[in-house]
Amino acid sequence: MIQLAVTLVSAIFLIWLERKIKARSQYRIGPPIYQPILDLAKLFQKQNLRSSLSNPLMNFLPLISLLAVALIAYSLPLGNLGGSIDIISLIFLFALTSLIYVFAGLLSYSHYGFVGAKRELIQFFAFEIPFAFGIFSVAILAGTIYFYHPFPFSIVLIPSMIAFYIAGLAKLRRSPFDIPNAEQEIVAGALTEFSGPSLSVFLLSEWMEAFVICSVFVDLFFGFNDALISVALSYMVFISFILIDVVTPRARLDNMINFFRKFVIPLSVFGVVLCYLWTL
Amino acid sequence: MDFIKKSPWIYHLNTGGCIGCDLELIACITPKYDIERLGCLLKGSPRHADILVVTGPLTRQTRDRAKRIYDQMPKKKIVVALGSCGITGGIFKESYCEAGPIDKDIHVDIYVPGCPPRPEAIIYGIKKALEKLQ
Repeated sequence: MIQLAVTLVSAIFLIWLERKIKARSQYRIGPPIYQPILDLAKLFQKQNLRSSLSNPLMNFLPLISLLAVALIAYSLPLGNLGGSIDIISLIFLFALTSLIYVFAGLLSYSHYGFVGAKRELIQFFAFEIPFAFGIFSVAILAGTIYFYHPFPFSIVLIPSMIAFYIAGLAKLRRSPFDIPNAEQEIVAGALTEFSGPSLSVFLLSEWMEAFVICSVFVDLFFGFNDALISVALSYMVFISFILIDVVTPRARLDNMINFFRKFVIPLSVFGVVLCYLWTL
Repeated sequence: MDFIKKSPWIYHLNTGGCIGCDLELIACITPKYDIERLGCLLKGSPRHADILVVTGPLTRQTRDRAKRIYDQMPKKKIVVALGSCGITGGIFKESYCEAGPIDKDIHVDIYVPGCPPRPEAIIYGIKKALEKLQ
């Protein structure tokens, strides 16, 4: 239960931090620290509008997404806070959040949503292999698929770590992989047609996912048996994501695919093989 | 409490003006004025927005679209008409392609005069509109 509370607080803090860092990097002042809470509260006070052509199931998607992320956050072994999840469920729940994003675009009956869903699906096929292989390589070294305590840093994990880091950047849809929600091209991607409370829940689930991916990264590759150090390291990983987001332009879809096909996926396969040979 | 006053998200709609007012509205999010410190964000989708900022006279082509975009916004919503053209039609008044200022079709809460209005005036107008919501 503590992990869930930590995730909720960290998600709101990190999103403020992201907006603040972006603002400071552009010589702006940026929003006050309570701004994300006000945004969510305001969206809850607004009307929940839906296009008459869209599918009524659209209203349930944000809840499923939030539930999936909350389930990962609830069972995550963050530092010495107990918790256990097997890696199959972990990969499934992370894939579910991406697929919910795709369905959100398809069910909302908007051209921007269709394009956003298509791009997210293509990006999903690119980053899912390094993402899963990063988790597999740790499981091979640990000798178990149950993920119940942080795994300490090991030098053979470095290729998997780099691949998982890049996959995490693509999963969080941060630049240079912010292709599915490219604001200048397709408004807000799959979230274009969402308004009011459903948008609020969707945003909260995305923000929580950002912290959850950072803490999974820290737990897998820099495991410390201390919750405070783990959370601090997760924040630093997220800050590094933001710094990359600030300095890089958006990649084109085919460039992104080629980058993953030629560099990231071979690196992750190499990482898994290396870990397997290490255990022999 | 009305949280809309603390995080007003803006949707910007050009109904066929020159882009003078639009540039001044964009100037609001630049380092000198930075409305994000007040919680404002410029949003691309009318479904996310609270404030509809209309610049330019309403041309025949954009009249139907403007009404549709207004209907797409969730309640509570505020409409701000920006610049001389947004208020009266300005220099384009009685032109063959002009279909009257925006307040013929949509209830406008606040008019910000000027050709173009200064960014300070735009921020003041948005603040007034949020006060009027009460």
